[in-house]
Amino acid sequence: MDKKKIYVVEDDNDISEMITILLTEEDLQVSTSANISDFRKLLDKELPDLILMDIMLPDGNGIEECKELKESNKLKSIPLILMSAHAQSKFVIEECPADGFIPKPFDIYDFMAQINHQLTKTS
Amino acid sequence: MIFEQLVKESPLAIYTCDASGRVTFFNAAAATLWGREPDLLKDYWCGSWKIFYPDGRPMELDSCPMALTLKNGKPFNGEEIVIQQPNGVLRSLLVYPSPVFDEKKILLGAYNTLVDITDKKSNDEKHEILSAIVESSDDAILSKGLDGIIKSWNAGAQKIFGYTEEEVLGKHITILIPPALISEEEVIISNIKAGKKIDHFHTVRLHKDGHEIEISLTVSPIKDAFGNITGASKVARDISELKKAERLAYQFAKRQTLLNSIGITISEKLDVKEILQKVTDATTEITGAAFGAFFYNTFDETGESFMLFTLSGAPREVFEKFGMPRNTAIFHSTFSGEGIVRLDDVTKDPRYGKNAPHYGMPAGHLAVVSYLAVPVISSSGDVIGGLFFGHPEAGIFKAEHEEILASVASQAAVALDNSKLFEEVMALSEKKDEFIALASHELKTPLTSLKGYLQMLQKEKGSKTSEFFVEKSLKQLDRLGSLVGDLLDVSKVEAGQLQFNFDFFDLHKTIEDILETFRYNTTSHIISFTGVEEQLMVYGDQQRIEQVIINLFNNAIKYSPHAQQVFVSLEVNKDQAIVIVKDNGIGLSKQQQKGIFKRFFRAEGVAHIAGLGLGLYISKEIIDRHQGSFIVKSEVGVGSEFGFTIPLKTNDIQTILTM
Repeated sequence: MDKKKIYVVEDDNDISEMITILLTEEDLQVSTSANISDFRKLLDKELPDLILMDIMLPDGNGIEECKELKESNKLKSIPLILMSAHAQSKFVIEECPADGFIPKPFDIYDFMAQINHQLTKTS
Repeated sequence: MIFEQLVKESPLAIYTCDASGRVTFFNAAAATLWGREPDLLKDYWCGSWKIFYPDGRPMELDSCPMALTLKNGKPFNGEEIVIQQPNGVLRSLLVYPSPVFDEKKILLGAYNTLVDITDKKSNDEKHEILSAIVESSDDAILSKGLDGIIKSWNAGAQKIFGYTEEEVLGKHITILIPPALISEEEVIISNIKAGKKIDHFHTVRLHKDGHEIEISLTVSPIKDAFGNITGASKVARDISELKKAERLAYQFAKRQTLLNSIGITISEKLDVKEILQKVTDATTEITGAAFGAFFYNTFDETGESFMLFTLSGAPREVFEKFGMPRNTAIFHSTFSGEGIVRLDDVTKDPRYGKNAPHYGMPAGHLAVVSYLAVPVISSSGDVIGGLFFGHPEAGIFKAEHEEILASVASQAAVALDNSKLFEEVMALSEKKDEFIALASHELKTPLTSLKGYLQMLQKEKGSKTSEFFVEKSLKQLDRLGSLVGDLLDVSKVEAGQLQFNFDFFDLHKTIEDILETFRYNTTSHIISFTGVEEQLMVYGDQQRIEQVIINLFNNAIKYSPHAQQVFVSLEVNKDQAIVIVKDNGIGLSKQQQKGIFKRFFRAEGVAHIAGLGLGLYISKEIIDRHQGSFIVKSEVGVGSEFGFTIPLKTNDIQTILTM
């Protein structure tokens, strides 16, 4: 079975790197982008199994981006988890159709539990 | 015989003397008048006990009119004397002694007739006194016939109305009545005809020179001997001064009230617009202006420019269609801070009407004749603005208004300075909250990767020491995380953006879970629980309530370094759940208890105990938003009890749901 592909959209390089290491160790394939436009380019090439996206991004807002993705027939089935150091989870879920929310800083066990939950849901 | 009886019984006092003056006869009326009976042929001149001249000097008996008549052989035709009766009663008499001669012109004697004029005399005196009173009165006292023709006029009337007696006698009373009030006279006359008196009627009459006088009028009917009403007497008191004093007193009181209200607004309000409006309204009223405006100075790149700010007595559109007042000659002295400009007629001022394009007031401008302008100068000496007042009539504004306005303007300047400072402080405070929000977000970013790496490191097998250090590091990281979280919450509370997610949850279970974590992580204290041991549903934000309980646990442990126990209880009282966390720690003084809900509050003497002083501030906000109340009981050296109440599910939660 192919490794599950995860797109991480995160503008902070350190967090992005840490998440990449964490997910790679869990035997997942990670592609990172630091902004929405790069992420879109990745999407055009290939669709991931899961999207992990920060809310405050240099060229847009994760909540708005989530709304757009979930309106696309092609993309709406891909699980999308939002992350933020600012917002509270329940309000984010209320505002957009994200599949999950991870507040920063996070516990890696909680983090992995959410990722795995979303991945197994689709498989 | 008839004559003898007539003389004896006449009501007139009659007596006779012989040529030597001895009393030879007196009738009963004479004896009554004298109050005694003289001895016939023994008493001389008359039967009086004592005699006086009318002015009160004693009169010798042999100088009395009878004595003189006998001495000189000449009669007196009604000489006035005063006699005193033995009982002390005084009588005024007119005496008519007349000599009697025989055919050879030899004096035989004299007869005297005494007429008692005591009553008439006292009436005359009364009349004189009354006349003197009338004449000396400050009130106008006059009389008129039923036809309204003036019949008498005292000095007071001349003083009040300006006419002399000669000028008004025979004239009609209406010369004193303003045309608009002429109907009053008909009412007065009809009352008088009906025999009714008019008391203290406040009205207005005319002075000879045409100005109006406020008077209090009392009018009474005059009756003749038969009781017929023939006219009216009028007493008019000039109450102009009284009225003026009354008006002044009222004006002062009103002015004082207005000034007080300005003072209150200025000292209590920090909103510029509110202050300016209040000042404009109150000063417009005080000056009696038709309208007033407060122009607030703003400087643009070209230097001086003004902008309309608040108005009183005129709708905004009236001014707006003319744009801003320009730096014309008439405005210049105000906006350059030269001083107060007060003009009885602005159109006659040499500075007026010199500027293009309007050369005076533009068409449609509110009519301004009286003009008053006061610069508002800040403590730094800058002209912040100007108060302008207008009135369509001339000469409305007085010197006294300048004084009042100068003081109001300086107060307003202070208030404006203060509110400017306040706005600056508010802006800074907002910036600070923005900064905290931003900073806490920025701090969370490195915390995130740091925590991730440390947890991954924890999973690796290492030496006992490295595992221990990683565990310690993670604990410190969590502490750092919660401090940063508190900072973020504070900035949200300040900005009113602390969000809540209300739902039903089991408060008992929540406490149990927290207890478990604490028992696992805390070695210094034993946390014991009492109270409700079953599910207890409440309505609230579970995460936030957890935050409050954790904060209370942490505080209880933190501030009881020498105790080993912390007590937690969960009780139900009516429709509320009560959570109390009790410690045997250092406690708080009454003074300290007052400050605990303030931001950054730290109890004195606890500098050695870590904390930012944000926990209770946030907790209080959370509990307030849950319609609960915070409980604090503490005693220095004994310990503290902190707790809160939260409405149970059974409560009328509709009110909370609509929050």
